[in-house]
Amino acid sequence: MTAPRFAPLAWAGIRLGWKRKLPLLLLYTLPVGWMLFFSAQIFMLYGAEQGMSEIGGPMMRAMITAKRIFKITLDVKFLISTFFLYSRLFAVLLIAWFGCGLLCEDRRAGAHVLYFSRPLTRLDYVLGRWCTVFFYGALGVIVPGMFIVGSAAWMSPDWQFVRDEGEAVWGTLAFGFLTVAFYSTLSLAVSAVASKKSFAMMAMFALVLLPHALSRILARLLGERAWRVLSPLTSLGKVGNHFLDVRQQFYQWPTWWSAASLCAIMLVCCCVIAVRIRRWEVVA
Amino acid sequence: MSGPIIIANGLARWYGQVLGLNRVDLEIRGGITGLIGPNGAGKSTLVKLVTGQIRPSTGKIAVLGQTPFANRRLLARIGYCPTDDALYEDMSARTFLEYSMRLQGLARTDARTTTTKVLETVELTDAADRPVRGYSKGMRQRVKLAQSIAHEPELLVADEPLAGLDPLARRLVGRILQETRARGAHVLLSSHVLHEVEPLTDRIVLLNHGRILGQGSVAEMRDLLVHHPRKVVVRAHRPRALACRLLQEEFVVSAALDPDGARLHVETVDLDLFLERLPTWVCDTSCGVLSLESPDASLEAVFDYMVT
Repeated sequence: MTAPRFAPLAWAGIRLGWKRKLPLLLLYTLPVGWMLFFSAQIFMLYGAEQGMSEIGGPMMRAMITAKRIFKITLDVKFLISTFFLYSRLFAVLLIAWFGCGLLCEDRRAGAHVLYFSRPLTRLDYVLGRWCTVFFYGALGVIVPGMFIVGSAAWMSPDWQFVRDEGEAVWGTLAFGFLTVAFYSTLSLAVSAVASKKSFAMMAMFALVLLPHALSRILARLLGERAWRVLSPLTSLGKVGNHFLDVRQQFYQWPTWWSAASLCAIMLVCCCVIAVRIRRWEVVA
Repeated sequence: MSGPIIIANGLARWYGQVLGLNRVDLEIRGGITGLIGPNGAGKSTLVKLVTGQIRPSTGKIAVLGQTPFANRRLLARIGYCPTDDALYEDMSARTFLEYSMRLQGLARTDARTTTTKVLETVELTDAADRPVRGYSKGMRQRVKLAQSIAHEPELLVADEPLAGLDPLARRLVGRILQETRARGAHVLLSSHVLHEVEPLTDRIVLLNHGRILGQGSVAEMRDLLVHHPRKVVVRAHRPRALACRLLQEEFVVSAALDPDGARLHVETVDLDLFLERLPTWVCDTSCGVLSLESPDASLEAVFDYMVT
């Protein structure tokens, strides 16, 4: 079985991104930090639940006491949802950093002619690039999410977490996949339009933050929270929480509204990429 | 393949309002074919149409018997050396070439073997593991050429492969193109460096303003320029006597001496007849001929006549 044609393109992109160590270090510090923080929380809460005062030292004893006094209950799915909430802007930065330069830099360097004169379709080219940015996004979003889930599975007695809340594993995967896929597509769309990586990054942040701000203003002015569906950040949270089966009072509109909003944005992004790559042909 | 490798019928390409190629009819046969023309002549457009990067606005093009645009099977048989740098600065030449071969559809081990072989061909083995960003212009050109020949294509399309190269690098590129032809592949070579192209090519296609001005060997094309008399420069012992004799002939348009009187510049409408009768005139006038040259039989002269 031979690898698909876009695989070498994706792999080369991953290798190129790997060569620059400083951005990697800076961009992954926070996701790793959040991952350790939430995993530690799960460790402490499970430990407290099981009364493991002998292994955790004074911290664990304090946790056990706090748990008794404040009646803290352990909700791993809520913690995972919170992890995604906290790391969402960093996910945008991470994916923008790796994705925004891919198409525009190829265009600037004229590298696209090497691809289009090879036995490689335009779709192969875009898929290869998309896989590259998805990989780096997944490292910062899906892997930490799954690490937290893994911590819960490992800490729970007799794999109780997996047996009782096994759907959280799939929910985390789906939430992470949706987040990374959405931002990866968005980053490629802005990269296809922009002439420089820096412009594309600015455009990506604008496309994420301006609708967020606008949706908040509209929701406040019109007294209707459903306007928040216009924000990709909020919509991703809404759909992701649906995957994790986390109910939040704040999101008071049907999930499919958010899903439709995200699908519409992704569709527009795909159209932009297709049109721009066709345009490369016209101005070649 | 004995027939034409590239056939174009009424081929035209517009970029919005700008005309790139204007209803071109073309048949390119095997060997090395030079694609010559000034900037904006349509060379790059033709190259991009041949390599399937763009679609024709009207007309048809067939390369090795197939339509090139988005034709993966055909593109696997073509090698393309672009004029732009098109290299990743952080990659080494070896990585870039392996990557190119993987994109070409070769398995990992085959890509590695092919890369090692082609690095030797372009004499880059020593620098193969250094990042491309430290390469000279000539080395970059050789990397681009290497990626286009490594998979042993049936047709190599090279867009300005000699531009900006020093004489040694030009010689190497010329040798690689000759070797490519020697193994049975065809080469389409687009270039501005006319004197370098001339010895390399079997035939040339001359383009200007998106149209084909002529195609064939340089001599064939020069013969087509009947309204431009052929120039001959003769150095002789008694050039004045020879000039007087020459001016009696109908096919000699003019005969003029250098200011220092050493050389005679002759214009004739029939070069073959002129060369045939020259020995007789030399004997008649007793003027020993020291040298004889035809300055406008070169590609450069043909190019100038046809373009200006």
